Amino acid sequence: MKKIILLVLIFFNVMPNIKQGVFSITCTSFANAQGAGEGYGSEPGDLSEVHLCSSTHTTIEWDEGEFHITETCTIKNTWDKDSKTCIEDPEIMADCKRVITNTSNGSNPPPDDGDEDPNNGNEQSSGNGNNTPPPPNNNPPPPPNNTPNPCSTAAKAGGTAATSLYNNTSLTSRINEYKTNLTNWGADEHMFGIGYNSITGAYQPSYNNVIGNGNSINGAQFTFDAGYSFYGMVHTHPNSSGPSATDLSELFKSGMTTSYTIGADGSVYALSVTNASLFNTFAGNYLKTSDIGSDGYFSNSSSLNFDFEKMYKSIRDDAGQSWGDATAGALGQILADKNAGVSMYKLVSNGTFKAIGASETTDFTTGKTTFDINKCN
Amino acid sequence: MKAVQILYIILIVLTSCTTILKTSPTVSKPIIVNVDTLNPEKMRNDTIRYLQTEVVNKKQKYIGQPVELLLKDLKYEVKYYIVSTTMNVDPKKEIVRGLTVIFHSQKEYYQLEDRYDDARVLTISLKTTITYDEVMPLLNKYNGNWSQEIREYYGKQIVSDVVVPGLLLK
Repeated sequence: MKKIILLVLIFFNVMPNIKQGVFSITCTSFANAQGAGEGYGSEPGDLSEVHLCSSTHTTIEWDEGEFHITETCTIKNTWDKDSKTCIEDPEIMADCKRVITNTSNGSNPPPDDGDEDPNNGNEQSSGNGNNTPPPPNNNPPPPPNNTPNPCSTAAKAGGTAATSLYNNTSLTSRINEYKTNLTNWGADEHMFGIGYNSITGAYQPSYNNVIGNGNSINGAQFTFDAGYSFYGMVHTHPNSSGPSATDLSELFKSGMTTSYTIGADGSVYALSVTNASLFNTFAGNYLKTSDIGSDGYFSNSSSLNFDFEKMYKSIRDDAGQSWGDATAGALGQILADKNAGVSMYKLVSNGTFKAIGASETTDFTTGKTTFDINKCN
Repeated sequence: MKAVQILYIILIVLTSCTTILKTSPTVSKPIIVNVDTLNPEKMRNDTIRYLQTEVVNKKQKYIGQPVELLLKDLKYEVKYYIVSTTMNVDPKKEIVRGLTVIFHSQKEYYQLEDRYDDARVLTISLKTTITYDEVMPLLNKYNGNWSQEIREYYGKQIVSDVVVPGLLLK
């Protein structure tokens, strides 16, 4: 039997990627010969047409690089009266879904240190226990996008740095002041700079605050002690959105390393540069003045706009997440997809910043692709 | 001796294949080749070149006119679309600022290696003020896919601009 499974898998060229195959088959044809379907999970003696042509359900899981993919499908069979066989028609598919998650995503069993280990032995069989071969898969799963993982090692390192800076005691009282007063400050964004002394290794909040007009704080100037250079900033988002395309653009133009946003709902997000050279390339391609819209996000002429729109709306409307998570998750995924050298983070309950992006689910029946926030471990 | 072993292995493989053929109820189907997949880069560049020269460069013909006029002129079939809006924490207050029509099915689109820059798309900005709340039922009705009803709805809206977003020909 193993031999047959192997041959089927090789035939459809999925063998190298298969991590685990769970096949639950309710029916195939036994009409030609009694017992010919041995091992297929049905009773050879039951030859009722209805039973013979019930649907075939399969679940296949495999890893593709940093992605873990689960595809479930129901193949509807049709009864061929002439040959008295049940024909699995790959054109007639129902309830087919493909879910792509990062291997270090919280929805999968994560290793303690967050490092990926696809062979950690945590797989659970969801099948009926029959070690049966899959039906011929005439619609083999397509390859996933060859996109970088928002939970990559570099992104995680950026999260560690963002956590360390945010918890620096020199900034604590100023951050708390912002959190406390944010809701009383109305619609205008408030901002302070973070200075860094490369000789002493010390950080310092700027002496001054900059108050924006609405959501605009361009051209902010900060005052530090001598020896400190502009390193990062903290600013408020009274509408609790995640960091915007304008925030990303300001991060690039100012040469900062990390930019935090604090929302009125208590959410805190960070953008942190993980590779200055890649960020430079990304900004040259995608953060031109014409790429940024009047609302601070991408303009209609940006090639990042329509996908950003799709992702944040889906995270908000389909997955029911907050607006902040929706906008931050969508932008975080774009940054990962484009290998932008900058990552998106969210402050989680244990006081650390976790890289975030968007996970993608495709329903092959309806053709609809939806997204949810992906919080990396 | 070695030759006998090789023959034995070949025999086992052939026997296994025969077993599959006998027991499998599947009927072989001809392989359908999607022409788009033969040379996707050429296909993309041809499409972008066409959109740029025949639509964007002649956009004065479409600005201020119903979207239908533009859709009628397109030589490629729209299969999927994404609505762009102004950003607002309250989705009911978001205003539709345009739609990006996509010449890939939703499934094809999300399988592109770099969907941001490899997709064949055209963004149409709208002059008409409509809320996202108003278009959401139609969006959900067809799971985001393009349809005749959607074409009729957006066809009545007025064009304010037409662009091929992002990086042009590679």
